[in-house]
Amino acid sequence: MSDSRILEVQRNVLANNDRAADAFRARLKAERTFFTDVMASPGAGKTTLLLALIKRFHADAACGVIEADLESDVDARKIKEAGVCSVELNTRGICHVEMGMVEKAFAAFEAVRFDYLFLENIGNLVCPAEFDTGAHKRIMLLSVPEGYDKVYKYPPMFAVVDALVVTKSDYLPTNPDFDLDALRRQARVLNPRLKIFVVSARTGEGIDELATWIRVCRSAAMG
Amino acid sequence: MHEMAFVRNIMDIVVEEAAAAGATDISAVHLVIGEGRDIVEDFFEGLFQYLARGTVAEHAKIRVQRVPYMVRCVRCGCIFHVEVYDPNTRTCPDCGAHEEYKLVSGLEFYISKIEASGKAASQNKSLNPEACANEKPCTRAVRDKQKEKVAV
Repeated sequence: MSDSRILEVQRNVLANNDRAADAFRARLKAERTFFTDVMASPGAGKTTLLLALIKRFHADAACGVIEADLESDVDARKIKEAGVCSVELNTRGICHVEMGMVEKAFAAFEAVRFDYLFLENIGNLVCPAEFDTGAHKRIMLLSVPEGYDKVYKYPPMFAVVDALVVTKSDYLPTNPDFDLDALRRQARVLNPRLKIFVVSARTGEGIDELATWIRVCRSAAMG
Repeated sequence: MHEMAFVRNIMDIVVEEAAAAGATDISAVHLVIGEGRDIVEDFFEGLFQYLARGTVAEHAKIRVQRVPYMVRCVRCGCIFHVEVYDPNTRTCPDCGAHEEYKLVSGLEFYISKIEASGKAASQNKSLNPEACANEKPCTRAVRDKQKEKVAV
């Protein structure tokens, strides 16, 4: 005898990753480590911005960086040369970071405790948006040279982040076509409460405001 | 290439659910995918067929239901569709609040149901729908439904 039937399943395809992310968030909270996931396209200035931010935090807080890259340790070395504790997470061609990779990279710090931990995610505006990395806040960068019209091309990324950081603002005077107001409107289409910062690591514009926001978020998340 | 990560998870769930239900053949897997999920469906199905070789899902079809971006008005609770490219859709049709909403759907990705068949005699568990109701073999799915985050 053979018959068929429907199995009502209703199971989240990313449930395992989400559960691991929730557990990791809770664990870091218990250790009073605030974890920020930094996403952007390649060349938007993630490493440079992180170094500028960490400079603000360094005096009174311990900072660490998980440097995710498809290949090479170029950025990880740059962070280490600046005297910041970092671990390289080389995905060997995989376009995104999942929790298993984050946990493994974090273990490589060998129990060093941080007040602020950053993940420099893979340079990509598509795939990283899909996977929870266990961060307390997720931010994305969009540099002025890339152009302002990215929301319509990558709406999910703009939908899942807590803050948009417009980087390389020192290029604004030479890029009159970069419509900051249009970007603000479009970026909030799926995310009306999105925080938006305009910064330049080169001139220092906006970095203090962004650092202050991260401090406030840490206080709120740590309770 | 992130489709592979999704397909791998789907295969794990399908094989697990089939084993729990005593199914020996899966004919279709129904997926609910938000429009915000960047999935190339043809590529996705090809990967699924590749990974399904030699499993109970070897002959399964993938059925995709796409779910649009829906938001909930923070003023009146009305749920409506926002079209990313059309600024005219960002106003609540009920109370007129402009861009005062929260995204409630459009990023989900879950397996809604699986079409299964099997030889009841060989599985020591009847797959007859009536018997299913009596023995409640779907308890597991219900439990998972409660346990897992299905929404965004």
